[in-house]
Amino acid sequence: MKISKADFLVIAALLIVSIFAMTLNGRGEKRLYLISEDGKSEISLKDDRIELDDGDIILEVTSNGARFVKNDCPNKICISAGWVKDCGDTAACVPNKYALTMECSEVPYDAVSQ
Amino acid sequence: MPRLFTQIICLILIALTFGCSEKFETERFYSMGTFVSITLPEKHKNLEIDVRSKMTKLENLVKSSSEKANESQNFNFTGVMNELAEYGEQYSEMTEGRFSIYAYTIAKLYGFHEGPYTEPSEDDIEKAVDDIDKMKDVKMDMGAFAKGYIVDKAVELLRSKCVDNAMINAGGDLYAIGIKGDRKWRVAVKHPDKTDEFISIVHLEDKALATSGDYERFFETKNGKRIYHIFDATTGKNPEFYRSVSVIADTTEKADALATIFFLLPETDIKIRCSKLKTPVLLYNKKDVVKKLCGWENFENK
Repeated sequence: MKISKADFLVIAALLIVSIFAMTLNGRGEKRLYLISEDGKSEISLKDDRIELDDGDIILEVTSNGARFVKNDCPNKICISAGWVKDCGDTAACVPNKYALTMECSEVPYDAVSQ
Repeated sequence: MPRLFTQIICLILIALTFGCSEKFETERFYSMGTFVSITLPEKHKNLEIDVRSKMTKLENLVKSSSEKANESQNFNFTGVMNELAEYGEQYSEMTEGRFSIYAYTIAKLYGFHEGPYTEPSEDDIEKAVDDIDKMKDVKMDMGAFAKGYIVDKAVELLRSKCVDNAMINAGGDLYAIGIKGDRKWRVAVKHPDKTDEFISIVHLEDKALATSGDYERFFETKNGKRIYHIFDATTGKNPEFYRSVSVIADTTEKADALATIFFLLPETDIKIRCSKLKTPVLLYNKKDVVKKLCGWENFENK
């Protein structure tokens, strides 16, 4: 049983393609979303300051992520959650129904229980 | 022969490249006082609307029936509410009255769920405990397991539409249907204080998981004491055992209820109950120690 040159080339080409495809799956692009009662909207990752509800809620955005800097909800859980910067990070303010979430095509876990 | 060999290699490589290509999409929306996320295979993504409307419908039914019952003090329920009330009765028996759907009588004194929060007088607390005992002027709330129950109904809906793999997560009360691609669903349990840390990551397939904690819905008194939303119906106070309790069960309703119920019980009592019910438990106690009971660690291995 001998592997011909053509066989070898086909195998090598397929190997390269499959390894490339696997690394693509693993890398995943980060996308930042703001969720509210109105639905889900993407926020572009660039230095910005976003005011919502007439300035009751303020978001600070950078190229790495975003955080709530002001929110009129009672417990300020979304502010203490800090920066939303890694895949799967979420900061939610349940009383006024706002949340920030970072989604990627590949995350280390599928859900968080809290 | 060489040709056959090449063909086999090609097939393996093609499988490697495209084998785990079932893509999933996650949609999030606000329901039941929390953010609900639904992860579905791309080909079934249009079912998100059906799930959403089913959950909202049930939520509204539970909410309006509860309000009506509290107003009229008539707690004779039918249909879904009767089913929920029966669960509540069983859980109350299981805990010798420490768990009660009427513990909302106490929680309401403190200002839960919406605030403004306040620390009631000892007399008011005693009166509320006494009222629950006599079923007089009580307030009822199915919140401890209604959310889990509604997740289960959404799971039933997806199964009836032939969805083999999906996840529904209602603010930490979740159900994992099937698997995700070539592996089980991975669920991280949050650390009570450290936002970036997890106390456990488990792998689930056709299982539910729910967590109760003292770190999500709480307020602090003038003396800096933390008061959270779970109350012992026999004392009118917060139980003082844990910071976080997670439970894995066959239904979300059960996981949801047990996460609250176990919050009210000392560890020895949890051990007896979780081995009888076959529900793995993860505890994070007041001494910052993590305890794994009834086979929790088996779910940490892939």
